[in-house]
Amino acid sequence: MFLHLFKYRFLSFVREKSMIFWILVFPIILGTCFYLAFGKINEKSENFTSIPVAVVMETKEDGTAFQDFMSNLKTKEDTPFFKVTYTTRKKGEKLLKDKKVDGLILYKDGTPHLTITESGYNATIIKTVLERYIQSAEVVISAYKKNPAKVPGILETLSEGVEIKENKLTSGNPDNILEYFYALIAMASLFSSLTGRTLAWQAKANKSAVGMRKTCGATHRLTVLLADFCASLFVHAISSALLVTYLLFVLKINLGVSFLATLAISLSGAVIGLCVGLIIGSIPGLSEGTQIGLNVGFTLFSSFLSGLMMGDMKRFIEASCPLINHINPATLISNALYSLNIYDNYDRFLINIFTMLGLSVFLIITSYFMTRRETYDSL
Amino acid sequence: MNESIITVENLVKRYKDLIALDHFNLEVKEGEIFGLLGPNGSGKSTTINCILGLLKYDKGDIQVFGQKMKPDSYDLKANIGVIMQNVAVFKELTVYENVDYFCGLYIKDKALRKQYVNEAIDFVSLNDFRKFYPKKLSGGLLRRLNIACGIAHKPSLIFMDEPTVAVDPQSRNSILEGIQRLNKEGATIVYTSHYMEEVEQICTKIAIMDKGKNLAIGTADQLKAMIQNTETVHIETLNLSKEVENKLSGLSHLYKQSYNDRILKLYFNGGDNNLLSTLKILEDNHVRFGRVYSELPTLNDVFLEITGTELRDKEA
Repeated sequence: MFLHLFKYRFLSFVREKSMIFWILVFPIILGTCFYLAFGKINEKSENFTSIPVAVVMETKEDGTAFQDFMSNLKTKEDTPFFKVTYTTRKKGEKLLKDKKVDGLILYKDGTPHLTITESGYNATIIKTVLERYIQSAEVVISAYKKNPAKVPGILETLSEGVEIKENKLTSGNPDNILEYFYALIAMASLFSSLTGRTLAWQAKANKSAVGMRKTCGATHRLTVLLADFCASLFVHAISSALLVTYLLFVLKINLGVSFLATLAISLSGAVIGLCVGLIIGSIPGLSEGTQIGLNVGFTLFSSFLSGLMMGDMKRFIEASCPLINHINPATLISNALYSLNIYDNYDRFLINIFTMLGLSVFLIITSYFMTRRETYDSL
Repeated sequence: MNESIITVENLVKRYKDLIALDHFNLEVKEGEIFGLLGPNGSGKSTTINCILGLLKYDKGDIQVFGQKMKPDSYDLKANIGVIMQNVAVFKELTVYENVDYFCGLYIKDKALRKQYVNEAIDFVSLNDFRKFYPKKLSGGLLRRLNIACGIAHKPSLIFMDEPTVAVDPQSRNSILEGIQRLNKEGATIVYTSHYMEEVEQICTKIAIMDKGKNLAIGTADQLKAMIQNTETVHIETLNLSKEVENKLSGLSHLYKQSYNDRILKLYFNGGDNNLLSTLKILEDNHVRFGRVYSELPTLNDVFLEITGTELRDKEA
């Protein structure tokens, strides 16, 4: 009986074109757009681009040595470390303020002074290089005063170059762009709320003729609901698998999480989405159109809060209202993927998974009590 | 004597201030095609939904197969088929798949279900459309699919709530014939409609409903016998004078007459040759007339006499 009901509900779900668009086609299109917009993530970290800096020369002494140093500093691939703009202090400050440059170097009295507006990878490089320059300059001046004959040898040693090496704190992929793809997977999972709503609509006698016929049937309501739920979840398992396959193997995005783990997290999210859909579909007095609007709105807003449109959204919410991050389903899904990718232990991942599990249990119980009803005040 | 399949006693159902069913009583016996006739809003669907346990009711007692119907009365539900007013099928499943799905809510055995599904599709003559999706079917065919989904499991009690609404005449006839065949095969049928001709054609017993009340109950002939009208004569004529109208009023067994829009209507409560007597008066007075016909009482006349309004007027 269960398999019979499961088979036909599965067929009816996969044949519903609008549903397939939202849970599979739309995420694939959006994923492709992200891929095209952000470039090839895996190659990005390997290519070094010159860091833009503004230099203001306010010195009575000869600053040629410093200017030469800034111009000649190159990577092994012969890429200049810095893209230098010589300017006045006022213009330099404006460039820094407008984020046209990552640092403002004021060369005064033989010493460079660095001003930055925000920390980051480029700021660290500029700071390291300037510290190295100051130390080297002190060594050369000291040697010149004590033993001028040793200066050429010291200069040769110093000119061996500055090595910038990235030491990873994690074995995962630390690229921030991944947050968008995690949010995308979360969104695709939560679109299961659409099938959940349909499921509730077609289960209730006061909502649809099909619901009425099913309620009159001789099969226990829980069996019918369970078959519907499982069929819907199976559809999402397939669509999630196709989406993750597309991201991992067609776009070749290094999500930092294995295929199966991503699929499992995505399915956990789909359970939450299904239950939310069941609850929305059971709210009395709402038209079908209003319910669909609520569904799409819930999914997109939840995904927005998890960083689908703005990568820093989660951090902004964490600073202003962290509770949202702890209960927002899309953020939980995204964070579960992130923690599996970044952290070498499972502490944060387990916190996310257990929160999702708790949320699922709460939603399943709530949605069951809202959809199990068989006798109504009006039809 | 046939057993009672359904008994409804003093059923009261309110929608806030509106009384949908007002101490409604009903008894349906095995083998009947029981018609619930009444205008829209008279409480026909509410009655069915209360019997099926879908609607809560405020007062009264309902027994189906001698038992109280509850949401989890799955053993009772197994013997009941329901054909809704609105078509209840999945638009993403084919004709065969739809019938199979809904039959599967009742029949577990796969082979038996397959046989039943094929028989149901055959019964509603949808064999040529087995692989069609509902959106490809015409209104009439869709109604037939709706019926197949409701009767595939061979229930002994079938509720049909206005199954012929918005159906072409050919499909309507097919559906009505099908209902009679189901009845002959042993099914008891509760049939609601506001089409009195249909009810009169197929129902073995009829309850006339209005404003949530059961106004009269009996066979079509019994209902007609309850009213004084035995014949209504209709005559199309121009400029009927008051003098002739007065002469017509002297006809024996005439209890009411009207002349509106060039149609003269004469209502008789007995007697023979009423039409001939009428025409003789018209000819004697040199009244020219067009179409003439005599009509035996209909259920509409019954409804008219009981409620003071015509069933057709209410539909309009």
